[in-house]
Amino acid sequence: MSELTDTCQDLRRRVRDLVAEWDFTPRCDSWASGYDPDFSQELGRRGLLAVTWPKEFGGAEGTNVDRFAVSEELLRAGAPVAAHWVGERQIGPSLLRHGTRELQEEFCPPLARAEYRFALGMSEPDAGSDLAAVRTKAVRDGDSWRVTGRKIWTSGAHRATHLYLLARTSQEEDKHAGLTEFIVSMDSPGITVSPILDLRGEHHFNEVVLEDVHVPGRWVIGDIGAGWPQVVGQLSFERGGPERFLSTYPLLTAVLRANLADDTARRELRALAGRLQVLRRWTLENARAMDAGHTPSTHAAMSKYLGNKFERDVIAWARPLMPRADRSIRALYDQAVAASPASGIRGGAAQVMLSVIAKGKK
Amino acid sequence: MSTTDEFDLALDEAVREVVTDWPRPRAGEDLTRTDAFRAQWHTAVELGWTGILDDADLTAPGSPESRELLDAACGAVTALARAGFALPLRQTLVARYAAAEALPADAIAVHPTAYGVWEPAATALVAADGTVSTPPGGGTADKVDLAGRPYTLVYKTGERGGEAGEALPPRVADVAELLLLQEILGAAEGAVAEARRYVTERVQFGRPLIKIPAVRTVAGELAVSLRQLETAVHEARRRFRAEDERSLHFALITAREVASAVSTEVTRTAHQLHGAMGITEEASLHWRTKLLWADRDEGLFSRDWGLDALPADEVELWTMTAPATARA
Repeated sequence: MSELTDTCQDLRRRVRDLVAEWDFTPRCDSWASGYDPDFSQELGRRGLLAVTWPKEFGGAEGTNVDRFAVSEELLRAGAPVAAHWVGERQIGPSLLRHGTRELQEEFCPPLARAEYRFALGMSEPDAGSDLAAVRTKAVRDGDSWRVTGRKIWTSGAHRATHLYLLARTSQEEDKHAGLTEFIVSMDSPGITVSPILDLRGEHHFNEVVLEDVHVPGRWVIGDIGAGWPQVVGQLSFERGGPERFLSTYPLLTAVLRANLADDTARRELRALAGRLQVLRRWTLENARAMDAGHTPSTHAAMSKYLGNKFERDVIAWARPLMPRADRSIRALYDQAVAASPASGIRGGAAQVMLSVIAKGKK
Repeated sequence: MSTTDEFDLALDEAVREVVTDWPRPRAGEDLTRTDAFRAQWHTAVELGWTGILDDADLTAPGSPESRELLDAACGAVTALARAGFALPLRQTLVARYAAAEALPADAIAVHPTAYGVWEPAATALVAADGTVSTPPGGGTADKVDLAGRPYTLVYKTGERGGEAGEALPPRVADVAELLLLQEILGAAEGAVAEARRYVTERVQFGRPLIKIPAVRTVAGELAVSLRQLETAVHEARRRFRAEDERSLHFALITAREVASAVSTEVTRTAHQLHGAMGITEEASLHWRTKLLWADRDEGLFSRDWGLDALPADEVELWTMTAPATARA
């Protein structure tokens, strides 16, 4: 029935095998908050990370459709994948697309083994979803760079080995020009990471202050001043994947397995299933577009927008069933509810997505 | 990326060319009582739209021939709805496909899967077992629906239950459901295109409406809704070519659910964007939105409609929602 190839089916089976063997408690929003570096490294050992990357950099030379299969199965299970998620999802691909060979050799193999953990230094206090408004500055210092600025909502920065950084390297009339992408070592002097606790008191977000931080010249990603078009391409990886609709899927699974769905919930499942089917098709098409060398910005924004809606619908669907749910299902429900505001914002707020879509549909 | 392929586009272009000069009836009229109706039906027959499925074998889903015929039927129904014309095309296509004997070329035919829509205007009635009869004549419509289509209240005697697929020849109910979905898709596409044209051309507060951020946001929502519907309908169409009946039924009922939600949203939003002009007879938007409302509500009488096609557990849900093999 499935459109996926034998390779995809094999990858799915291998993920399911590992998930069955591994001792973990499924959780909602596992790609943002399910942190287990050992699990991530085991995925790397089994060839389930970096499946799209060249073999010489630790990959399997598969397709984005292959990676889609792996991601779907991991998220379906609510597996703890946060330790490698950002590095494997977008930093590695970005380096392979724009980085120098030296940079690729230095970072991709450790990323494929989940030895490096990346945090995303994009958002700033005065530039939330308006990425082009970043103020963090990078100035030349001989062959190197010196970076000063503040990043906010930086998930996992307190555990990261490296920071991906979008900084302004020149002041241009067009705010989309003059931006450059860097890699920064989190060990560098001048970096201060302060926790921002979420509404459950959990520590995922951070503020990262950079004061005259040294960045080697070789750690520039791509061309100086070309950060905007590069980051737009990266956003397709960030917005167009299955994590944008499967964050609450473990709750749906748990309710169905516990046979909690009453007649009303069974009827409502028609609509949920229809939307899930659509979203799985869209993310597969996004992966295919990327395999064909396209940047499906508009379609990725659509996936994110509708995906977030689906995640909220799952919560609303499950809510009336919670009085009969056991403690583990209630925990999933609470995780899903608490994560829902962030789900709508990260990767770009809903209104921003709609604006991207409307422009793309001109 | 788009699921609308070159074949669909070419067919749409051809249908649009044909219907360009077709007169619109007065709003609120029984379409069959208008002067234009017979001429339009005659054109549809002459162009071969009504007989596309006459020789089709849709129980052989993998064959290129059946695929082409199904694509052509879907394309014609969608294109006509996109242009905002309601003719008994899909009902006749289904009835002719289900009929155990050949029907006259110009027959307006209905089958139980039409839920009584167009039945008062029918010249041939095809029963669930494929037998053909001629209506007694002189019949009057119980009602005219929002799209101006006369219909008979076939459920008043309780002889039909509103469930798809009861004791019918193979895949007839599925074809009927698929063509209904295609008609909804076409009408939705037409409504969104009209709304989009309006907000792009209409200048208020010194600029085109689409330049207003709130309007742009709503236009974005419409685009998401429409693509959602298109994907769900095309998924069902893909599964029509597979052997797995259960998977097809799942795709059909979930697509209908998506279509219901999207029809509601598209009609509401398109009229909102179109402002007061859109609710007048002069604007052509209402030909699409009325068809959407009528189609959305067609045949769905039971709250439990289609529940038997839902997956039993998560594993089946995961399998059923996986994208299907064949290309639409």
